[in-house]
Amino acid sequence: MEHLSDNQLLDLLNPQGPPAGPQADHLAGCEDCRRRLADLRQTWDVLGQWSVEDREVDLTARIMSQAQPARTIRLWQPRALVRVAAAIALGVALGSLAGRPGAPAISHEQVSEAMYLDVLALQSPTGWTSPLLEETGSN
Amino acid sequence: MRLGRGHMPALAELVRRHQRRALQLAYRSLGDWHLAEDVVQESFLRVNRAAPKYRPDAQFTTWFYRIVVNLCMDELRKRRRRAETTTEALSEASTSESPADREERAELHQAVHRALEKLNERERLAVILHRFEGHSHRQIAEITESSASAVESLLVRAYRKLRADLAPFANNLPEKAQENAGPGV
Amino acid sequence: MTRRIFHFGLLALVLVAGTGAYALRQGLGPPAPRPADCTRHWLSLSQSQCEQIQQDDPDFHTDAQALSQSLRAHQQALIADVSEPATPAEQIRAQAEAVVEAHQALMRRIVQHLLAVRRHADVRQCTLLNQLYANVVQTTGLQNGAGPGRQRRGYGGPPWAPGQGTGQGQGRGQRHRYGQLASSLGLTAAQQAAATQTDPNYTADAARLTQEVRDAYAAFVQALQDLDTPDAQVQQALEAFIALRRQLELRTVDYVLSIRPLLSAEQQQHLIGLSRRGGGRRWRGGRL
Repeated sequence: MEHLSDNQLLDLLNPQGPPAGPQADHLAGCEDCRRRLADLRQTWDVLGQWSVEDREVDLTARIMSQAQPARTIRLWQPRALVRVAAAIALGVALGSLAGRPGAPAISHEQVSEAMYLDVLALQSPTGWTSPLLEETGSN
Repeated sequence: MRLGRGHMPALAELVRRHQRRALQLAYRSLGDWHLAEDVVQESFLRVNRAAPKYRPDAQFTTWFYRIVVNLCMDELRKRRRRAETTTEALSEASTSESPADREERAELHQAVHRALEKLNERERLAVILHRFEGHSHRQIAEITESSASAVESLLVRAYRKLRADLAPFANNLPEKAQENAGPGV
Repeated sequence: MTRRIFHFGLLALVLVAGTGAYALRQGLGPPAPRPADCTRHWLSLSQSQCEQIQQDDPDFHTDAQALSQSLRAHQQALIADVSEPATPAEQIRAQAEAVVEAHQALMRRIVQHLLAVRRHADVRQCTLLNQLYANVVQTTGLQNGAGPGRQRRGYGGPPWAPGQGTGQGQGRGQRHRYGQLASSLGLTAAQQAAATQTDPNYTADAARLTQEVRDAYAAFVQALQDLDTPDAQVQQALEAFIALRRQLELRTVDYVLSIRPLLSAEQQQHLIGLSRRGGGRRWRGGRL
């Protein structure tokens, strides 16, 4: 015959435990288990004598005075918007600085154009003497 | 959920609902009301801080009691390292009791307290959750983040120790308790 | 939103905005350099050199731009006049004269500035300047430099100058380009004969003047490149060149106006095409 385990016996004592059912049938026919249950119940009951008075203490005020609201931030709050704008401005400033191109590489053409040197070429102001002045081709 | 969005009255409501049981649990675990109040206060503050991350798939009471139990466990371990024991009177006298009854009750309370103190932290809290909070093995396992079989082993061991220490006081039980020999309470 | 998420979000925003700004700046490329900066960077002029040049010739870019725009306006007016068959010859001639004078004014202003730069530049910087002149005049080979033993060789004058250059340009100076003008206008043999009758001396005048213009231009370029040549002499060489060129221009204008009644509509278009090749800034697209 398989006896009830200590846990099963504890379940029988606990108001939250499962219903008696099959265990009750076994107990009816097993003195050993009945004795063990009685021992456990004694311990259970002695423990139950340890009563704790309800203290008239309310911790609400203490807790509320120390509690901070959850650190939530709503984007439409002015402070949040200012921070977002500042973050964007900072990012743009840093990116622009970093991406700033170095000194430009000046080409022949650029400096010639800047100094109008192309005007000094042998050319015809009206264009009509171009055929006379041009070097290319043959007569 | 409202607490997660910073709704402070929600915290006040939670305190109102759960502080009494939390205080009793903490007091039974620690044996000191001041410590118990500190632990419960800290538990609620942690609930408030962790609220944005709280997922409602876990029952709130399980989550909350887990916090309380962990804080009690920390306190018990600290006390063990300092080799301290509480000497606070464990219960207040009832005005309707006679001095003899009061003394007897006080002696019983001391004995229960000493017997519980002999248990390790996990056994002690398992017994308190089981005997005084009425939690099932599964519920205790969820609160203490253990397995159900581990909790069952803890309880069996703890009750055996308690039975040995409290057997002399079994005769002092009121008649009503002694007559409850059948299954169930 | 928790504070931590918000702060991570801000950090991400900084990174995104920064990356975008960086990419935009890189994509835009370096800003177009200002004309004064081009010269400064190219020649590696020091701050004091820049200040001296600025003091010597403060308004070059402004003046040059104004003169260039004036030249272009006159050239466009000339094109408009030539495009209109009813435009009187006198009006066209006057407009052509205005074009020539505008071009001369621009050249004078440019040379004035180059001399100012030259006055304050060192030898290395002047060498760089001469490289630029060489690109402009499209020379090949070196010319014998003015002065013995100095490192101031010009980068060549036009190789058509007779007897100059390293074996190039020999004999080319005697070639005349009358035929090029006729073929540019698309004149037929009959038209050429009629033109010769109308203005029999043009061929010789054009040949002579063309050679003189080329010689004067070579002398001017050489003077400009030679640091030993005083500024006044450079300017004289310029005046000599532009004076001869003015003669060639106006002589050719007179000739073209005399044969204009002979030109067909298509040949008129050729003439307009020639007008569009008028010198000045090489505008983007190359034509006026």
